Amino acid sequence: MTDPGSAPGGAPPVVSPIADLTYRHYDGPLNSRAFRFWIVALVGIRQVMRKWWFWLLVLGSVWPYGLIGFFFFLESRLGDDLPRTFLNAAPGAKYSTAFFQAFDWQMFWLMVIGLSVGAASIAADNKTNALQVYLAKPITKTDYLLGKWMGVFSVVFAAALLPALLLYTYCLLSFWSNGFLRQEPWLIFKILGASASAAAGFASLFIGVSAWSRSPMMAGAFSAGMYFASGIVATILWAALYGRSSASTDITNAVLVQHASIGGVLKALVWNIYDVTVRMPTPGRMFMPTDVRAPSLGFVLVAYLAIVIGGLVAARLRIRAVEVVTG
Amino acid sequence: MPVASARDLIVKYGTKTAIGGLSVDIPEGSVGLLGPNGAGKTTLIKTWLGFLRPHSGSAQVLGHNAATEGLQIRQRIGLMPEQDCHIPGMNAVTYVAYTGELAGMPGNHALRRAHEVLEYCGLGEARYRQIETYSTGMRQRIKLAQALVHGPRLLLLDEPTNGLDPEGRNEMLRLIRDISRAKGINVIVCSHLLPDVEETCDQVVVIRDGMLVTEGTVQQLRQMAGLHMDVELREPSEAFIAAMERRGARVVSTLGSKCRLALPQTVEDPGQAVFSAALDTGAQVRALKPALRSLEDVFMEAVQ
Amino acid sequence: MISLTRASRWYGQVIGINDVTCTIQAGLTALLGPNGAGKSTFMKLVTGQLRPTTGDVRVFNQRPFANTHVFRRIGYCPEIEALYDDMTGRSFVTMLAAMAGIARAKRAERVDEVLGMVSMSHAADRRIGGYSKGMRQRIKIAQALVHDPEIIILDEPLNGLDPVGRKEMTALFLRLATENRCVLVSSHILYEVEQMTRQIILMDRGRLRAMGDVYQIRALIDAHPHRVSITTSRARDLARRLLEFPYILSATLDSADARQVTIETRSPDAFYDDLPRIVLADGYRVEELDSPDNNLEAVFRYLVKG
Repeated sequence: MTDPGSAPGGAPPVVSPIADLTYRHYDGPLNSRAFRFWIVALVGIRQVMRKWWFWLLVLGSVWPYGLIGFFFFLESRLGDDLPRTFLNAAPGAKYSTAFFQAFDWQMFWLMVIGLSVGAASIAADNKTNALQVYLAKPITKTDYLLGKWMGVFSVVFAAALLPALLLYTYCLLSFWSNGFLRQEPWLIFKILGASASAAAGFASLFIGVSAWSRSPMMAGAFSAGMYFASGIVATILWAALYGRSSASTDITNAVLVQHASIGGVLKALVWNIYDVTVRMPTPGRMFMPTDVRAPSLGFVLVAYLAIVIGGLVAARLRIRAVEVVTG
Repeated sequence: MPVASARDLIVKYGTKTAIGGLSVDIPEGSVGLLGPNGAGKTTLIKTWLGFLRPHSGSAQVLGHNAATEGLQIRQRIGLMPEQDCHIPGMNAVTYVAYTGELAGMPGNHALRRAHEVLEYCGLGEARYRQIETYSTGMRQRIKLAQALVHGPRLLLLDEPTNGLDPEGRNEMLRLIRDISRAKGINVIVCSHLLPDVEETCDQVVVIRDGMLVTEGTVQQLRQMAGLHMDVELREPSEAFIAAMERRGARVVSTLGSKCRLALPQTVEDPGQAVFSAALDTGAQVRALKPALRSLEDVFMEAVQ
Repeated sequence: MISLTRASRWYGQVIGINDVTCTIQAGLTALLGPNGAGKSTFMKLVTGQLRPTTGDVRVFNQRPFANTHVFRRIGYCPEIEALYDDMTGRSFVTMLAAMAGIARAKRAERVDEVLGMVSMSHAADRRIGGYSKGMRQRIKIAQALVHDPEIIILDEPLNGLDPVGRKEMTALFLRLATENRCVLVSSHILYEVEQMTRQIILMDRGRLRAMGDVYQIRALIDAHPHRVSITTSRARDLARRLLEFPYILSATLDSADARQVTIETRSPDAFYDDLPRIVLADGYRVEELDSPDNNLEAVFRYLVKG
């Protein structure tokens, strides 16, 4: 038995009846480094979960599924008495369509949640020189970045996934006998894929911006500005193209342009994942709907990867260990 | 075995050479790493931490190769950076425990240690407060606490007394002395305040332009050849100095009412000489000490 | 040159300095005190950046607040970093020279001169962003001197300088002080202050605690008897001998070094005057004589309570 207070290679431990309570060496266990990034992620998650306003945002991301669930409930009770809604507008893909619709409504809230966790995550560290603390410890830049990314990803992923899973469970239990599982056996994977791709997109984007900023407020404002500005530009272009179209025009390209924004790309990817048709008014004939399919997966995937990889590379470039010791 | 060392180390930033062929051994104990701005101290530390790859030559810390084993090195050392730094939005205990977890300690061990080191660093009362509300002195202490939490074998302290007022400085110096002398942790102090180094370090290493210029124990380096005495009078007195010169002394330097005298070896009892000169001239001797070179003199001689 | 009369300054409910009365003459004066003692507020009042809440501040017999006549004769080196990273050292000092109203024709020459004074000529045309902390500090000092002010206020001017720089700048301040200027330096590093000056202003929690010559101040601190330690081969003997004198309050043998005796007295002058006679008469071999509390460090410790 060695005295934990003795110096390494020092004098043999002397058992004194008086304990030294000042400082002693640590010789307890150490965890392996493999999941060290998770510690960084957990701190980010814990910090945001302590904020009351975070739960308001979570509420925002829950209600779309609640609403859809409520429609399903009404429909099952009232049956044909219910006016024909979008819910049964897509034969064979009723549930996918509904989940995609809910996701579309939810996406704004996911963005705000991602922003509230992500924009500050590295920027706040930059402001207080926290990187010096991190990198002086036995972790690598990659551990740090992965931890920060996982922190944002996990929160957004959970916020996207959990309400969808609740609705899914409700559907599974209530519509089992109606052939819910037989009709759309892959739905659960689509939900997982949709939540994960949205979360990964937001996490990379916001981490990338955050790494380049020394102020959480500025990072937040810039990220939100970029998000909305690209959305507005895409909408204006879409409006111009759509306005010039007539009933016989193919609006596939116009729809592609409509999604040429950060949010649009994420939405288009999720649209591809759910693989449903969306009803839009035909140009020139407002009351005659057209079924539109998701924009081409090729384009969307390239744009999506550009956001994810671009964000990560931007963050990685900015994090330089050399700054730990300044001259 | 040296705590840290470099062998023919060359480190470059792009084409600029920051260290050009340094060989140095940092012995165990407390060591002051000194050098003027731009001497390569910062580069050397970065290399030891594994952040810079040597162009050629090697660097070792605690037996690990700095070029390839940065993580193992950082596991076993604690760094107290010069700049103010913390992780935002935490109280002191959470913060220090978190830095412990970053070093691999399991959560409950890290929390226990956090309490211990915060207590040791004198933040006992304040450890549940947000770090953002801390004063300069407390921020300095918490930087020390986070460097100690994982039980390092070597502490690197970069300007540890930066911004501290006299009381805070004394307290910090006391902690550093205790860490190195009583707790058996090796310490490297980088500071521009040489008297701080004088008080905390047993040995010093001076580098300039990426080269080792002086090393040795503080005691050795401060010794002067021949017999020198520092005498302080109440008021400056020409008569006293003249009386000492008659006794064979030579004035080396004067500052206010203090003077440094070189005495010939023939003077057997310097005290007797000084007191008798004082008695003859009516000067009042306030202090009398065998002269030591200040570390500042040692440093200036080394770098100029 | 500077006088404060019952000057106070609050920030909302927080007190900066409280009822300070003092005058500062030409020469080098050190402004000391723990963190939060009001040193920076004191400097801002003198440099006219703040107006006293109550009381009066006079510089060259004028009120300095927002007074450009006074500003042109005061140089100020702030503690905080107030530099533009994208300018060069030279352009920064030149800009401040222009603001201080130095004629265009003379500006370049004067800027060269002060850059030389702070030993920055070699790096003056590099970006400030690439400067070390010491170089930034030198540029801050240069800008305070560029308009040849009569009063120079320096807030922690040696911060971040390496030992060579500290020595150079200390010498520069001392030279400026001998040119009949008033140099006020705040510092936490007491042994450096001791090498610069004996004139101090000691502030504590917003109030003026002591002002004047360090030694005189020390002599007036009655609460703490002077301690003097003597190292000699016959320490026990000397202790016994010294206790015969009425002004010696105590004599203690050092527990670690039995050759050292430490006495306490309230009449240091009497003791010091008698000591040579005692030593010479009884043939004590004195190796060391020192007073651990006759320095600035001790004055600071005694007067400022933590």
